[in-house]
Amino acid sequence: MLTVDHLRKDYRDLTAVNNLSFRLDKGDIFGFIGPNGAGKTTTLKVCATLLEPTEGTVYVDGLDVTTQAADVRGIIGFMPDFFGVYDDIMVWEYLEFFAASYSIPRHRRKGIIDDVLELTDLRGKRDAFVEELSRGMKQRLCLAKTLVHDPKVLLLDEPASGLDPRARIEIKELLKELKAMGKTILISSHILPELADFCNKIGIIEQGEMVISGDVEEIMRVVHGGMALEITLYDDCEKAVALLSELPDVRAVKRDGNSIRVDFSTDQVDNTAIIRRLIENGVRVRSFNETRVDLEDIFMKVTRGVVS
Amino acid sequence: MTVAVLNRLRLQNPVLWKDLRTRMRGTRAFLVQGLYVGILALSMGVAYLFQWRTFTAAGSPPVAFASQLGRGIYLVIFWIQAAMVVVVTPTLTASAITIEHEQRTYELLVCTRLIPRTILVGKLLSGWLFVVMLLTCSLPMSALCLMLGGVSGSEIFWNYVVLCLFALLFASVGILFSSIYRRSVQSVPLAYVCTFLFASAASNVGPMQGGPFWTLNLFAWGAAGGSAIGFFSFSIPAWLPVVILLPLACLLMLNLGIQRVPHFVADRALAIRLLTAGLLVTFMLLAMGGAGAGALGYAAGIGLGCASLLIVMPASFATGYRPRSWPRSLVGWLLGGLDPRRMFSSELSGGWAYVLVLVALYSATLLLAPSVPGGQPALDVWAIFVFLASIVFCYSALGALGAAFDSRSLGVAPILLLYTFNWLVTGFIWTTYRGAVTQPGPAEQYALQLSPFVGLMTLFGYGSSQTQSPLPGPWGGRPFWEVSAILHLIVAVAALAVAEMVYQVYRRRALLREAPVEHRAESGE
Repeated sequence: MLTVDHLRKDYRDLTAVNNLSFRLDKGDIFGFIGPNGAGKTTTLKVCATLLEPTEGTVYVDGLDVTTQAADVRGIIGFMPDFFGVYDDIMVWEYLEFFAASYSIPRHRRKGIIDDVLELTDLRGKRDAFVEELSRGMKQRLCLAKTLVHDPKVLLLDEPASGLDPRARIEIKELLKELKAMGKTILISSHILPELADFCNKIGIIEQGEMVISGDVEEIMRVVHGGMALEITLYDDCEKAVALLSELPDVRAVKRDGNSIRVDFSTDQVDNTAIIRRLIENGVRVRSFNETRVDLEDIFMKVTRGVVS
Repeated sequence: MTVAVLNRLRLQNPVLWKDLRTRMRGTRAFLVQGLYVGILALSMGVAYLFQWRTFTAAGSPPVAFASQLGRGIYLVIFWIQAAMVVVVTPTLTASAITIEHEQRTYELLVCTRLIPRTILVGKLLSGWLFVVMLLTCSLPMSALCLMLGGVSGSEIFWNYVVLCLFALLFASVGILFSSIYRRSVQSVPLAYVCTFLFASAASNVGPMQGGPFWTLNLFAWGAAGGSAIGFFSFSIPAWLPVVILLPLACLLMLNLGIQRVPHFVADRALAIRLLTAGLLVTFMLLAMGGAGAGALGYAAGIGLGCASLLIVMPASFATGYRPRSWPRSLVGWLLGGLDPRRMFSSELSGGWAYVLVLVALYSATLLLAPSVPGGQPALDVWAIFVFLASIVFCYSALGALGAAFDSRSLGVAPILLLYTFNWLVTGFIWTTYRGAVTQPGPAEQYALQLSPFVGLMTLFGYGSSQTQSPLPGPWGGRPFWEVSAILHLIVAVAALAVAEMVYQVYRRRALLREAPVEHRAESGE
């Protein structure tokens, strides 16, 4: 559905993106991760036909973004990281304007506007003026605008940046709904937990170059090469740390209050034996979970922090 | 059918309807409207009282001076309307696209299925219709003068049409600058500069009053509206040239804007070149057929039309191409523009060739001048061709120099400066020195030599091609046009050489970016 092949984008004295390649199939949710200034927005803008690549090609549903830009614009929905709204216009008028701009026939517009307002939970704000909406609502309105023509591919640049925790969760829920609808989504963010829940593919970019990309599980297995346990205790934490450190294949044991995280270099770990050993030594275990290695670990491991 | 057409337009231009809706929402639009009508009413009242006192003091019976009173009041209303058109119109469109950049809505707009033509036409019409609304609001006041006499209904109607057309022209100038620049602080002042230059040049250049080109002076319409002008052996209504020329100029501005609006690939080269040719032909026909037009009117018509077109046109070509198509050497720069195979592409290549063809056609047409009834005596066509070709080459080269900086703003800035320079030379220096009241100094002499307009005036109006250059030294005694052409060619070659140097610097930087870090250190980058 989206193919980026050896993309390079130069500005006057800066190479923002260099030799970037990845591929999204229908229904993929691709998390584009990288520090500020890594080249995420540039890549999204090239995909959205707003920038012309210096080298390389980008195809959206088989259409070249450079030579078939007008056709590409009809099948993508782009939500920029920073965007403005028009003054003196109501929410429904704003959406109707974009619906008309996508050549949606007049008789279908009302139904579509009601649907996207319902989806983005803005139905109650239908007749409100756009500039009076809160930041979170504007973000949802922009997403509603992005969905008005039912695009095949969504390009979302930092959709939850600058939002309070509640608005962030609302956007996250909305993205999960879009995932359930089968949309292909390319979402960029530098806030890793945002992406962890619903991406099936990730790409980590640093200084314009893709450090690693592919299936989330695959990357975790390749990069981390093991599993981790999250154990919460009532007391005797020091004793437990000592016991766990003696276990075979332990890579690291980290303590945070009464919680202990144990990283193993293998995923062949006998959980029963570990919990039995703790209990037999008088450690009172409150909870015991096998955890996934999170994106933050992967990110820290594969990037060098060059940009920052 | 009309409803169907309107519906169709409404469906196809969401920008227009969104802008109209938001422009008229709130109190701002009604305040502007109220202020405008208030000023008109006040001025009308003051004019009425003033003239009433004047006429009654003279002892005239009211019936005798009613028509003069009506005429006087109408003139006041018309001039206020004209001033409103000049002052208000540019601001309504000059920020139309830049405001989208500034409020960060432009990217959202670009990502839709809208094409640049729809966006620009929507923005142009929404700004223009607001001015039309203001003009329409003041129609009842103009109609009051009908009761007093001194002005006819058809005159009021055609003056209203002319005002609307001038508003359309100024609105399109605003749209052009709004498309070129990213910020309103750049586009709005430049649109005003252009509008005021046009309005003041059309009002102040004395020779224009002699021929049919007085119709381009908006402020002259209040007094002269409704009159007819001579065209070959016919008499045509005065509004006709305006009805043809202004929409053509508006379409030209619109197409230039479409070509320059960011994030769209819109090749309007063919439309731009056809429109410029259309304008040139109309100017020539008006100049040649304008019965009663003296040598000055003829020269002014040709000069105004050709000089302004020839200056703007190459600039628009030269700055509208991409760095990857740059020629690779000075010779490439020189020959690239003459490639006739690319005459209708939007690149620099072919641009000069096209304009040269126009200049050749224009020069050849001048051969007909002596045979036209009321036409002009034979002119030195060869001198005119060489002179105009050197101007085209010079201004194209300067446009290329601007483009070499790879920046939209820089690309146009040198041309605008030159354009302004020429108007200043024409408007002030020439009018000061043409009567040889004062002997111009060396700087002024070079300025005069480098002004296309002054060159055209010497060719057409004052002693034709035999006028000698006022410059000292080796230039002395040579024809004015010849010296001017050589100076233009020198400037052109210098500009191309600098353009090539700038290009080489950029290319070197691009190569260095590819090089390893140690290489960059060695090169001192």
